[in-house]
Amino acid sequence: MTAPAVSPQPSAIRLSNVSRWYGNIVAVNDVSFTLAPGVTGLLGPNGAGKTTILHMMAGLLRPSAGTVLIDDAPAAGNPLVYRKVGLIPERESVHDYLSGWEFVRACARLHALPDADAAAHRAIDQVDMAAPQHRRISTYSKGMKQRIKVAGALVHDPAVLLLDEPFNGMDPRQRLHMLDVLRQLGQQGRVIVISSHILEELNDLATNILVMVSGRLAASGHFREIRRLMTDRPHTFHIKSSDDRRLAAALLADQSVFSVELGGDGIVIRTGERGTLTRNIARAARDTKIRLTEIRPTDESLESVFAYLVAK
Amino acid sequence: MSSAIYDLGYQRYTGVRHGRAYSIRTLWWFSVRAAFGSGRGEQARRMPILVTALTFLPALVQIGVASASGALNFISYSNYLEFSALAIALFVAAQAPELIVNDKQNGTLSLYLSRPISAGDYALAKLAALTTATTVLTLGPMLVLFTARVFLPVSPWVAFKDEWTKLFPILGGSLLVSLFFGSVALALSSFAIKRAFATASVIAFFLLTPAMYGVAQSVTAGAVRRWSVLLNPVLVVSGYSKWLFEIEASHRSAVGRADLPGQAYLWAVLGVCAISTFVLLSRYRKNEA
Amino acid sequence: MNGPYMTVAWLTWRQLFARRRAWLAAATVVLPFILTFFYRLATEDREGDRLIFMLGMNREIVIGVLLPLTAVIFGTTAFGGEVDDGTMIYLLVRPLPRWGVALTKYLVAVLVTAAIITAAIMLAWLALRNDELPGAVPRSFITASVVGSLVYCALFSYVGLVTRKGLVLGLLYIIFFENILARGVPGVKWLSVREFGVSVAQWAGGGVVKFTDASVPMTTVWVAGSIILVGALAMTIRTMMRYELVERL
Repeated sequence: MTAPAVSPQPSAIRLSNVSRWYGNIVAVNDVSFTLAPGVTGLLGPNGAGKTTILHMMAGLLRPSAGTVLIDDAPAAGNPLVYRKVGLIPERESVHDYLSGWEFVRACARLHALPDADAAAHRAIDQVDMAAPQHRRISTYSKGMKQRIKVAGALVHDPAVLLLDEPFNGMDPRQRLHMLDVLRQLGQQGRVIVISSHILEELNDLATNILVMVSGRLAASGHFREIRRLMTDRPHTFHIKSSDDRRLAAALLADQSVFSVELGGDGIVIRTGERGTLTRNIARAARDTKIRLTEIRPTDESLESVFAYLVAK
Repeated sequence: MSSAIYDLGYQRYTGVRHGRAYSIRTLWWFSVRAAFGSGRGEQARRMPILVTALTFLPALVQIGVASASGALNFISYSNYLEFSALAIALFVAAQAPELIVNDKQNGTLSLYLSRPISAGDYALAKLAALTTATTVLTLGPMLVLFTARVFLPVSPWVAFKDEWTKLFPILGGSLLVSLFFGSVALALSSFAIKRAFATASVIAFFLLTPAMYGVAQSVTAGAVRRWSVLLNPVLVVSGYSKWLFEIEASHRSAVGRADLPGQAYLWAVLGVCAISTFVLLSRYRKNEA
Repeated sequence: MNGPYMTVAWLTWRQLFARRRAWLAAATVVLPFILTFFYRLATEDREGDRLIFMLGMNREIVIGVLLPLTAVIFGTTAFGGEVDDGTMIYLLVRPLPRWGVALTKYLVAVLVTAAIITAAIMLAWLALRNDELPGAVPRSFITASVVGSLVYCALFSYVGLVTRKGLVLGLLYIIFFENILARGVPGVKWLSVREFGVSVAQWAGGGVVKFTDASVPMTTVWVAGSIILVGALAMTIRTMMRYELVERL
């Protein structure tokens, strides 16, 4: 990796009571936060409003209520704000028929940069795409397309970088590479926002995490806090067997079980230790000679994970 | 105490496995329904139903008028085919892309090819399907007319005896005309990657050919001028239907002025069908999606 | 401010010719030329025939079919293509006024369409030119095609930007309105861009180019044409400025 560019001026993004609705659908509901230089993660299940918030921060969408300020100037409706912001959108769409180099250079020229070619070279080097830069983008792998998009967004040296699910579809090696690039950029003092729906993707990259569920800001805090909250929550399992009542009685004796609920269509078990319980269920069934026909964890969906966070 | 794993989940299929013919037939029927937009939601149905209704309209109006007024002057069968040529061209221009370009765009062609049908089978099934669907538009109104001619007059039995020979040309005519339009539309659509471009190319074809005919009419002379009538697909259909029903074209009409032997039109129709089918098959020659 | 607009133009240019559309353009340019071959082969080439052929071919085929088809394909793609591909966003997050972006794209579409049709006309004329076919003939049709491109592309740009089915709607307009209605119902002729083209050709032809039934008076052409052009462009620009990345129709 080449030496980093000169650090840009520190910026701050401030959202105050921002809401955005489309007719009857509320995509973002009264969200407020301030972002400082460094990497922030925007977490949430699909449909939580992450992309909407990113687009509002990029100045592409006007908030229906509230204000989005970048360096104390409103983000929307102001073409000059785009000099400060780089957006890497989620959809893979980049111009297929251009080469990587042509694309980045076009981005540089669209910003009327004084030396577009040099800026393009710098950006491409920074994402380590110098080798394939003259091939058509249609021949790139997914990871390479993402990287060339980052180069296009970096070329005008923005103080703010917004990445919408950048790790989608990347294999672990590509992801590590991207993490490196982003870490470097974060250290340069830019404000970087990465949206994702998988917490582990962000690893130790993001210092601060904002969690969004159904348009609301559900939690914010340090990465490790959030992760602890998420893994320590009680898990729920749904079990159907040939003799529910006897199985329930046997499981109630187990140490790892919080609660057992016997219902019309099976047993619902809550536990704090998932691993231990799964082994014990099998053992209990074997010992009581009961046949298990279904074991289903009921709240593995991200929705419930985040909903749990909201409830907390 | 024994431990056993109960295989309650994945079961193997032990039923009948149908072969290639069944696959082809299913694909054919599925495509016929798709040509009328069934199973695709409201918007996909609008256009084909509208055009189909349009083709039936004059026949139904005729019946209404004739039964009300008692006068039994019907549109002749051959005139009907010419008239509905435009509607049929529109129908195939819109639906041929639906049948084959959708699969290319969505990548589902490879799904079909992983079944016991080859790419050539696929193409032929689609051609058969579009022809069948278009036959509804060509044959249907003619049958309506036929029924009207038989049942509206005072003595249906006599009318039937007069008319029943017409059934052969009606059937043959509608089938071949449907094949004509369908094969051209499919051949053109097989080159496109997006539906809209396929529609554009079919429409371009049906716009350019009459235009070229018009130009040829104004500058050529003699035999070339007369034979240039084969440039215009609508006129080819018209000539063909007149030959089928053994009617003389009026001297003022374009076909009449061309004064070509009736079989010329038949061969033109057959020739176009053959060429288009060949083009279509060569596009699907390799078993690749 | 020239650099960025040139880039927008360049991007649009690259996009218009992506995906085999270059072949389409080539075929369009060559088609009238090929027809002149057939003319040579098939006719006796008498006095006055070449003129009739040129007039007929240019009117019916070039202005009548090739121009609207080319305009519809390139016009709807210039705007709709970017939105469909999802790449429009890269043009919007820039410190560039959006009306400038819209105008640039429109002008590129117009230039490309006009260039293709002009090349087609010139090629065919060069094949047949003689004393009977003065330069006024291609000139008048080229003028007509430029005017036609301007108006058609404005219309189709708007349609392509606003709906996903822009190409189909444009085609429907061409078939139904221009080919069926306007030919049959004289009262509607003044709304058909094709008839504008024919009238402009006659006007620019200075007596050499004459059609018996070009019935749209020139003032109507200028007035109605300008209204359509300016109106469609204004709506396109307005839509671009409000473009907010909501899924469009």
